[in-house]
Amino acid sequence: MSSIQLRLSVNGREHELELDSRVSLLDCLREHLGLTGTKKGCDQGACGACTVLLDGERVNSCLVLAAQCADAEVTTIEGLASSEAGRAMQKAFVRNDGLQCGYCTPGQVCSAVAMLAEYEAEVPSAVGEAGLTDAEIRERLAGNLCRCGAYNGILAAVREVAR
Amino acid sequence: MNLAARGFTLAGKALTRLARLLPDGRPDPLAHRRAELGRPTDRLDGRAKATGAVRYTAERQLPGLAYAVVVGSTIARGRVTAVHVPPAPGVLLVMTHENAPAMKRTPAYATMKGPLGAAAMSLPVLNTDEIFWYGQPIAVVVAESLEQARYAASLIHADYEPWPARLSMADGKPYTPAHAVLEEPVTRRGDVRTALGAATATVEAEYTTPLEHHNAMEPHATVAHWEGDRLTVHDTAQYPYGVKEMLAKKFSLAEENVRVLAPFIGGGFGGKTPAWPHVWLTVAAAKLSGRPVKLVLSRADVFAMTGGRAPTSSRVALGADATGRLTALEHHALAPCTTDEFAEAAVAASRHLYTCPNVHVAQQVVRLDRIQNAFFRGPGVAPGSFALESAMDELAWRLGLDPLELRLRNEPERDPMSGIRFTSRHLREAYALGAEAFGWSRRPPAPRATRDGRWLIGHGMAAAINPDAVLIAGVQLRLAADGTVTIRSSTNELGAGTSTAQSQATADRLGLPLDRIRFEQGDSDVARTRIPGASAATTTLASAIWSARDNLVRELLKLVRDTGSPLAGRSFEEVDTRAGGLFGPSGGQSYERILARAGVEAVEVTGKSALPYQTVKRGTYSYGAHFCEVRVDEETGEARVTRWVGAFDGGRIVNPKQATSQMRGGIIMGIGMALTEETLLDERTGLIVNRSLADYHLPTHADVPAIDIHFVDQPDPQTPLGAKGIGELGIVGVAAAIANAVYHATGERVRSLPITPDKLM
Ligand code: FES
Ligand code: FES
Repeated sequence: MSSIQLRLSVNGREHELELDSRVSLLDCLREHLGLTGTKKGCDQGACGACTVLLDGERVNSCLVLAAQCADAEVTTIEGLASSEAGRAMQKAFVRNDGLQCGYCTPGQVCSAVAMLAEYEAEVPSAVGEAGLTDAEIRERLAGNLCRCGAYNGILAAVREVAR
Repeated sequence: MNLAARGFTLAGKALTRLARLLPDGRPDPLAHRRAELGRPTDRLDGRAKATGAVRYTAERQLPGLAYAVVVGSTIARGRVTAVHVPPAPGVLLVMTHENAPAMKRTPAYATMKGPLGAAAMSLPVLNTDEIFWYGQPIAVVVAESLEQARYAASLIHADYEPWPARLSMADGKPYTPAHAVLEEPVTRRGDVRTALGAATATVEAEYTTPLEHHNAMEPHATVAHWEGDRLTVHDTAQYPYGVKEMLAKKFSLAEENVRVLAPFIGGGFGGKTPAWPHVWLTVAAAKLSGRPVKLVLSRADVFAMTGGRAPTSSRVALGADATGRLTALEHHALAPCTTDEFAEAAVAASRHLYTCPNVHVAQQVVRLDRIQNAFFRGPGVAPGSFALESAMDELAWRLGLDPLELRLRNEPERDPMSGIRFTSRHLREAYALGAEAFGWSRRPPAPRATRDGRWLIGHGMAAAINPDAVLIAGVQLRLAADGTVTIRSSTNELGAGTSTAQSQATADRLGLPLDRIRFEQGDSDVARTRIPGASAATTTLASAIWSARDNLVRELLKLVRDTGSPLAGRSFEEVDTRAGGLFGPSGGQSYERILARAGVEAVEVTGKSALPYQTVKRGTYSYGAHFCEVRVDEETGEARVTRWVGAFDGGRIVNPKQATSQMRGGIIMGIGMALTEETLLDERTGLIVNRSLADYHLPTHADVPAIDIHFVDQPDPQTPLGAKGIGELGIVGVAAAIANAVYHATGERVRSLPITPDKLM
């Protein structure tokens, strides 16, 4: 249970941190950096509420130790608002009512932005249909649970942005 | 029936008779107004949510905050004989039954054993060595950091003296509870058995639904902070005022010294309606450690330390004559409860959906050594309607009648149980809307008649009903000199869109544009507010705001009394709030002008919801109809929902965009209930085996089709805004519609939820 020195780059800002080595990236963001937009739904990699971008790729931040991120660039929901793609997705979520309680929403938004980039980069999915069909989007976002059931609105939002 | 049950039933009958003398609901002039009301406005808090700016309970940071982790028991019944606490770094406190402060017992919520405080159970957790369920908190660790608290908790273990535990519904003796959340537990009319003997077609079957957990994405969390004998608690409470009352009693504090804050909740669905023991244990730990303490339940703890939807088993018998009229309706339902006897009415739908001369519905319970059950979206009625609406489908097949036609032939004119009138009932219109949108009349008549490769395709339908409650709320209204209005309330934003809907209602009530209204929530200290759920926020708050508006008008008339205003000397009845101000027969003035002329900064008034006599005098329910298409893989037994139409009578719809989302949310939760959700409790030990979101299967994006929602949108003549509660309605009937579609697809009738592949192979 040693503590570690860590330089962490989050949303383009450098942070010098001294942390318990067991601190997850998720808890680091929420408890140490005050970036509470990233949510904790399960702490076990099963819900996607904690999705952030690590060097542009989506990860469940509850499954990553902060110590693993020393050389990476972390983008959270707060940081997404400064990118074109992020802002467009956030607006589309609101317009299409892709949210209710809002607790899964930051994870959904981060995941949706990264998912579209993955699709562009021709990362395959289990559905494997030609074109970005509804089934493709649903499959590619299946790791982000929403208990309020905002799925129809989220799909509409992603469609709108992908168009 | 025991004495308490008989007493409740007699009182209920007397009340029904007296209720005829009560006044009707006051017709709301806003019910027909179309300005902000009825507009599909984007959620006002949508941006804050989508950018991560909203702060939920666990995100409160306080100076000196310490972190708590709870340790649960590993037996279901018995005594703790020793708790072993190996030393660990950073630990500030380990609280067990040996050092926990005394916490007064408070009656369990919704059992009518005392006032309406929010305690989920009356058991003296951590004030006794006795264990009542598997996972009961036996220790709370408080440490400087979350990691330290978690590590220290992992080292703690206990010795027990185990006692035999009743864990299976078969272990207990069924009995009749005093009441089943305000439904009469037993109703008997005519002679069901004789009618069944004489019926043209009958169905007699048993239907079961499992234990389920709400699993709101936000886990339960409490942050407690003492300053002397003043206590501030941030909590994921659906019912902040109830938590305040409960904590005041438990810790012997004056109510004004306890403040509970819960503005934004990450989903509740009833699981955060009562306060589970971790709430008061966090408060106790903060007191004992002298530090502000934050406790967030782990997902596994959410399963073990908060209650779920009670499993139910229902025996249903239906009989009909050759014309498809019901002649017999029997529904005997059984569910577990604890010593607190919180019992939901799985029989509710059977009491209010169909007209039938011979009826015997009875709700019974068995006492088990499990954690108390909780309200869960459509409590009682959601699992119970799976039984009734499946049985109706079976009856339709036996009669050779379209299941929709069978329902239409048995649609009542008055409440089937009490004979009282409805405030409004537009179920026929909902059936018609839904059937048309779905293309129900083109359904292939025979089961197992449609296939697409290895997929068998079926269509199913079911009705939905949910009691419409108007409860108790107060609000504060502040009209500022710049013409903006702030409403404050003790309710909260759970995702239903309450703040947006109430802002719309306030805008129209006062004749102001929407951007002049601010709606603030989640402070227990605003006013006594008893809206723990029950789909009651929209109408109850609207009623309170209506009353605040009336009080505002009276105050404004005082301000203009001795001025040259065209409003001077006008009476309350002569003026109206519209077009940004107050207007009478000879003209009016804007709010800004009235305040400016009077030289006041702001006018502040309060409002209280009107007593909802109409809900006692008449039957008030919201209604709906589900139509769905399900595909079943003939080889694997996997069932997938591929199409859905829901049509609903929720009175006047305040915000169709939000309302549509809410109905979809209910339907999606119903899809989970039908196909995948089941909390697996090991009946030998009491341990919940699948206590994670990897093993408890919520519907994902990939499991949910496009869901088409329609509203009848007819104002109820007796409710505030003409609206009726719809938050829970969407889930009711969903599981039956799916089971009915599965039957149509495969010819297999599954009577036990969830409909997993093994039941279809
Ligand atoms: S909190 Fe990380 S996946 Fe659920
Ligand atoms: S919006 Fe509530 S969990 Fe998705």
